[in-house]
Amino acid sequence: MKFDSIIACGDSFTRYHKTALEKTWPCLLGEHYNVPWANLAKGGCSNYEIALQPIQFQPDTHEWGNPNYLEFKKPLLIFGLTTPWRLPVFAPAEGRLSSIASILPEDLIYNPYTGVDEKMYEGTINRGIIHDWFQQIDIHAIELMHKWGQLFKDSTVLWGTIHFQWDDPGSVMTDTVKRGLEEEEGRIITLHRHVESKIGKSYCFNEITDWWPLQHCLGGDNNLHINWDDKSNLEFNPIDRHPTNEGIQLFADNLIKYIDNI
Amino acid sequence: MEFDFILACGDSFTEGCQERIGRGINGTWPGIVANHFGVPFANIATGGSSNTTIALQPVNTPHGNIQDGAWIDWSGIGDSKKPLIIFAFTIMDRWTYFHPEVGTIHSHYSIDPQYMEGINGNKWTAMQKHIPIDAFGGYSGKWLKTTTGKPYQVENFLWATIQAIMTAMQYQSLIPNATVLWGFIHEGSAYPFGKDITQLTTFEDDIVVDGVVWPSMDSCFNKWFDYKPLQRVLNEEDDIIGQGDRHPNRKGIQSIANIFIEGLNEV
Repeated sequence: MKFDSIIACGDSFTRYHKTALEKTWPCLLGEHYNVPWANLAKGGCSNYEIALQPIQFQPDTHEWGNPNYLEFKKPLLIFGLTTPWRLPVFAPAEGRLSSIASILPEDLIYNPYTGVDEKMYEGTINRGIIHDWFQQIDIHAIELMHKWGQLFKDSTVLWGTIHFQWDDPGSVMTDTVKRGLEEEEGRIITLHRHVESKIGKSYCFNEITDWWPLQHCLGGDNNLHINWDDKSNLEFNPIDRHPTNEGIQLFADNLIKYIDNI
Repeated sequence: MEFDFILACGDSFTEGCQERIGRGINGTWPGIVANHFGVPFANIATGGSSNTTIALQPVNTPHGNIQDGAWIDWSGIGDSKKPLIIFAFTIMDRWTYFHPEVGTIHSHYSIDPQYMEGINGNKWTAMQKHIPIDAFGGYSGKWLKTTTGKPYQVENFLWATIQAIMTAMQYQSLIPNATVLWGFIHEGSAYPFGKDITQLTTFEDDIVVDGVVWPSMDSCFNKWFDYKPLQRVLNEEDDIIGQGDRHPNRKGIQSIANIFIEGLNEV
């Protein structure tokens, strides 16, 4: 696979605000392949918003890695997908499409950053769950991600799911995790086949992890998460399941393995 | 300016009311301009679009071949090496919403609750009919630069348009050798422009803000028409479809196309 740059899009598992930008996996990939890179990811994004990050991202409002897109002639566009259970909404405070990061009833609030009173969307969310709209949203998001391949002449679109909400701490695989993995595996393969039938070629990096979300390669190991389950000092050390630098390195290693095998 | 393809995005003033005018995609202003310069084109404008959805049309428009009043043969920019992408923006008071059933972002032509339900809307706009004004009608907390030196606090719908312009300009950074032009054609009643697009006024023509500095003014095609919205080229007597429909007729469409042809020849 030939590329001269990397543009990464995703949620907090691609760009976590507590992790230095130089420690994120897009930077590790850029250093490994010695190419410029840009990390456009933002925490809490839905997959649809992730698909729009190449244009919605405003370089003057975030730190984002290499600022000069104009140097990128053959970019590798990597979309790190998240849970399907996020709802895209138009956010007045941002003046653009944003997302409701959690659709759990208890999490729906007035969000001052987006200007969205999320409670207003509770009925929509409930109907969406019943009618399986969230899967439909993901299908459109994945199609949208691949539109970039048609606008960006010499680009390659790589995609896969990273964020996985079903993992449990510890190395023993519980029934909950097994069920979650089966569901995610089915979802990823469905999306992969959809891309193959509609677009022609699908580069899904979950192939390297047996079609499981990349996050599962951390295996519930507390050392690979910021704080998986230590509740002894929650005030100063809250539960935070984002990957540590070692965990992020594992993400990068898997992505490199996939890219080198294409 | 060198270009080998034109991609036009916008609302009904760019879509060209093809069904009503009856000249197909080649009779729209993007078609006339592209044929003048002898380059292929795609007109993916859709009637009723908000500025946010106009900015997203290159990625959000389904590929395919649709004949009646919409894009045909849209499957990306093909073999173009130097595409010209034109975003023809519209009135600011339109509602952008995510259509969960379809799974994509959509827009509705009005934020007036009475035009968001029944035959004028759909079940989603009806459900949200009070949101645009009650919840989103206020200030965004963002400030707009002006040439007068007096910053102006921006309302949410104006902020969405500013964001749409910034989004449109991102295509120029992303697509190698692409040129993006943006500007206003359709002029609305909420935030109507004053003497030109640098002045925003009220319904009663009182100036609300003067000396507006829009993002990327260098790429604004209104400069070819003294910074006025292009709709003002239309003579009310014989350039519009008719009373009750102020869209340009064939003559009006040609007048808009002429502004682009002359402007592009100058660059």
